[in-house]
Amino acid sequence: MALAPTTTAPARESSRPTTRSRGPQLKPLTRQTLLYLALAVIIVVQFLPLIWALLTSLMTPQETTSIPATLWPARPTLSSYIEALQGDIGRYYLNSIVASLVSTLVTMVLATLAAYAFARLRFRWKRLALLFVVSLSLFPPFSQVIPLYMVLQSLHLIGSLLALIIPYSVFGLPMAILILMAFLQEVPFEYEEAAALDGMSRLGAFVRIVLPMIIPGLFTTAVIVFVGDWNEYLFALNYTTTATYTLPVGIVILSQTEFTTNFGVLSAAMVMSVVPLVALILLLERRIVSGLTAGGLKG
Amino acid sequence: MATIGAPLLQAKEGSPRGPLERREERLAWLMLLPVILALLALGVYPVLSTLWFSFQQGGSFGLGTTSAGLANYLRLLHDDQFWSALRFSLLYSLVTVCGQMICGTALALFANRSFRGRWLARAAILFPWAIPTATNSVIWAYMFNDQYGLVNSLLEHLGLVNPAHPIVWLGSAQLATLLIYVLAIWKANSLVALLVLAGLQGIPEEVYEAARVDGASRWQTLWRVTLPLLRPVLLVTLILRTIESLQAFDLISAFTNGGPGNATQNLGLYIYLQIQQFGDFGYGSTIAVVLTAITLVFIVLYMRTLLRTGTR
Repeated sequence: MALAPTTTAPARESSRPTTRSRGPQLKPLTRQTLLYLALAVIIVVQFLPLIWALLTSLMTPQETTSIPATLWPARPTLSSYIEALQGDIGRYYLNSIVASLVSTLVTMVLATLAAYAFARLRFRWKRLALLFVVSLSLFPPFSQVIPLYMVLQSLHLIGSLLALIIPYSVFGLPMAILILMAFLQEVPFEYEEAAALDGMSRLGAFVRIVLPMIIPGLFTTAVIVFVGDWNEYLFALNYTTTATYTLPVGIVILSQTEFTTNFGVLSAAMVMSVVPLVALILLLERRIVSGLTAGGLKG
Repeated sequence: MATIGAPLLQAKEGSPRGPLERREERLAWLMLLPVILALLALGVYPVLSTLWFSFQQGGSFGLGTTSAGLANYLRLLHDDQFWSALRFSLLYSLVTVCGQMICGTALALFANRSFRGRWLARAAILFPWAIPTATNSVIWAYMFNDQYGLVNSLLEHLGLVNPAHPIVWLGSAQLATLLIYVLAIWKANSLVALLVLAGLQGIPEEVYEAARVDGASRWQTLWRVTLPLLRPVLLVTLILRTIESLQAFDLISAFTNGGPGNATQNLGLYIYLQIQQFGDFGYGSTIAVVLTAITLVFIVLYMRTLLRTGTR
């Protein structure tokens, strides 16, 4: 199943190609070199935008708009970061943090309850209910943007962070439920049976026995949900005003509206918006992979 | 081996009879209630409402609209900008999904080998997923800026481009389109690679052993053993990516914003133009309905594939 440990297939590579395999035979050393060459290329290609943003964020304003472009900051400076945090970007950052954290929390609570019901309890129409949840997550957000805007407007929420928190909390649900179900199904039934023998209720067993066992899974799911909320753009673009811009919206609008774009400040903002996520990835790479694949992956 | 959607298949229907079962059923619905209500309110209601709006016209930002009958749909037929956006959307899907499937599968095959530092390869694969699409597009736009950009600067240092006549990457329809393809493939590689990686880990080692004993080369093993076994995963990934690419918005919006001219405007951007710039909720909704209808074909395909893989 999806959560199989990611450390399979060690045997295959360690045995060198036997004489029976056809095709050109490369010396082990050459193959090793090629492998790491490929790894180096992949890393550069994947991280290039981040590296470029990082370099730019350390340049002086003159260097960011020199022709041809400066490739390496002569005297690295943190002034762009200070300027970004003191200006509007600091507020966008705060908006992003609040909106994403609160939404993730709400999503996690609701999704955990639903996932337990789907994974563990028997009831009629289960498959239909699950199909409903999954299929809804595939609808284009464009079919929701307009009516939702009118609802939020009539509630006078446009211009407040609740206009983001409410849709984020709900639209993160299907993915979170699918991932959590996969984690819940890994827990052996015997624990709940034992709890039932001890006279514990289903709900009690869920809260006191099962939940503590899937804490790593809860954490992984929360990270995935958080990344989705943190990066969301369409709803944020439509439902925010300058006071509630999130980081992605703020960055794009700054880059498209200002006459003289300050690339240093923009790059600093990008680096700051990405670094927490990169840190999480490097720390939790294996668990995030298993979580994402369990959820069937969306956006 | 059904990694994706496995939960869906493991959902067994029960037929509760006794009082204990009935209590279990009540608990289940109680736990599901918040989610179902929330999805009905924010998922189903808006979709139906959009459908209703598509038969409305006039007004401003949805207020004071009047019934339009099929007028909006008839307007589509003669709207050149709609057809060019539709054409771009479909082409974008075709090209980028093909690219993503090929590059993503290659990345997954690479990351599935065992070597020192494999975690680095996996982190590198994961990275584009985590970076905000819109923000990433801004970085790319800066990299391809004709004056201050990294790419032109590198080319000038190599003597390939005359600094006096830099390449205006985002100023030409062909180049901008090409770059959007490259960017979209780069951005979504990771999603394909992750799913394929999970699929690869589901293939038992014995299958490869058998292929080796039979004297199959690496290339033959890939084409005759690995890929056929990955078929269900690849199919699901293909459909999911197609749905996503049809709905693309932030990537293009933050990169070219549809320009130059309307050369890179897709349906998503055109809907946004109608509703946000013109405040024409009726016509915007009509295009959204068309986009949803196109997507629906792939959603149905996805559901059928999921349910079919379960019977194996």
